[in-house]
Amino acid sequence: MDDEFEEFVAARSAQLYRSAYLLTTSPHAAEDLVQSALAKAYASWWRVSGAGDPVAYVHGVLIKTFLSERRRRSSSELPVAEPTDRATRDADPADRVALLAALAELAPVDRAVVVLRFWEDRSVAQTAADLDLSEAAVKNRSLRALRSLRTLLTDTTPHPNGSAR
Amino acid sequence: MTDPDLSTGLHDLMVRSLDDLPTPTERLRAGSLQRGRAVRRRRRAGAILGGVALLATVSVVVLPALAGSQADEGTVATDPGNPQPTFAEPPPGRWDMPGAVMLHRVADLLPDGMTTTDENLGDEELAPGEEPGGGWFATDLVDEDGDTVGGLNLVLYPPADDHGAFIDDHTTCPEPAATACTELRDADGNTIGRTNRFDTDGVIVREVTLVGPDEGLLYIAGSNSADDKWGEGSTVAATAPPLSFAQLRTILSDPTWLDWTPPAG
Repeated sequence: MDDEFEEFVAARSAQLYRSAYLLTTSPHAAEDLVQSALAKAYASWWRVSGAGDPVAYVHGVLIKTFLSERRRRSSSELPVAEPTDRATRDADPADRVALLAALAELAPVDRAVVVLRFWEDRSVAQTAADLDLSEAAVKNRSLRALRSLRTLLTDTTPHPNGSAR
Repeated sequence: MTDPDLSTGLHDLMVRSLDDLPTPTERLRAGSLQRGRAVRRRRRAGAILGGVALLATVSVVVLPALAGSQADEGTVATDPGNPQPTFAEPPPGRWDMPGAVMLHRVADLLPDGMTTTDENLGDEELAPGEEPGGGWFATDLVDEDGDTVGGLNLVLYPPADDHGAFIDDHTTCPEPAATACTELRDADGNTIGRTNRFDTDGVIVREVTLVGPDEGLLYIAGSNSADDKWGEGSTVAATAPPLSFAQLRTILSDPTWLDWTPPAG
């Protein structure tokens, strides 16, 4: 079972981590969220592997974990002794910094809607089901979030001289 | 209606932004395995204890029935089968207590001289036409000198339809414990919650979790940081959290958190 789980992590952790990064807007919190979701998947692996779409199942666990934990102010990331693959890039690209800063301004549920709709490419109906919202609420939140992001991303677009509008 | 240009542009921006994001695969693998194995060990131990208890119960109930030749032929054991993910919305309950009500109640439970400020009841999360969900608040705490000395967070979770996994994950301590974690037990040795302490570069968080009588979790946490999130990079407002574990547990154990019914209709 461990081999199967580890193969899953190797194959899917990048996509899970990216979704978590967009949801939490922080590498630290994203790691915590993915660890938490994968730990739940491991503990119930028979259920994951028996699901029609294990990848969708674990992404669902990730979203549910994010929404369940979003009201908590503390992080419970489990430290691991040897951080062997810490990010080695010098700095975040400007696009990423601006995007994460804008996403961080959204309410967590709105952020989840944005990630499901525009990153994971889920339909309105699928997003509504995943988030326990009505389809009307998903549309409202999408519209509101996109408007906010448009404003925020325009405001933070760096100028050649380094200042922001 | 969604703006197609903006939504397409957003997707492209996301792809562009995350294209070269390094993934900490090894830490994700190691951390999830460690946490997942701990949960499995605890479940296995719980299943054994539960099996012993069930066996005792069955012996007590079935043996007298057999002795009296009164077997109930209408009772058929059902196989729970392979449960699929159920993300159903929980029924209305005390866990929907409005944040404003919770904040009012916690004010009566804080130590003398301590007050709240900069409260977050989640109102800003609402989409047009949505009602507040309730069940939580976050607030900063002010001491009798008027100084902000940290933060407080209280969450009422509904019972989870996950075969006890959520309770298990939040009431037992990791093995080996990576944090100062203590499981709380009742007189019979059953786990009823836990206390947990995190210290991240001087940002100290004290958490208490208790299982409610309806199996909904109650969670409270206090920190010496008044930031929205407590952890790496948060600023500290005092050397230690303003509330001790005992004070947090007293607040969380108050029956006021079990005493709320959603309005009819």
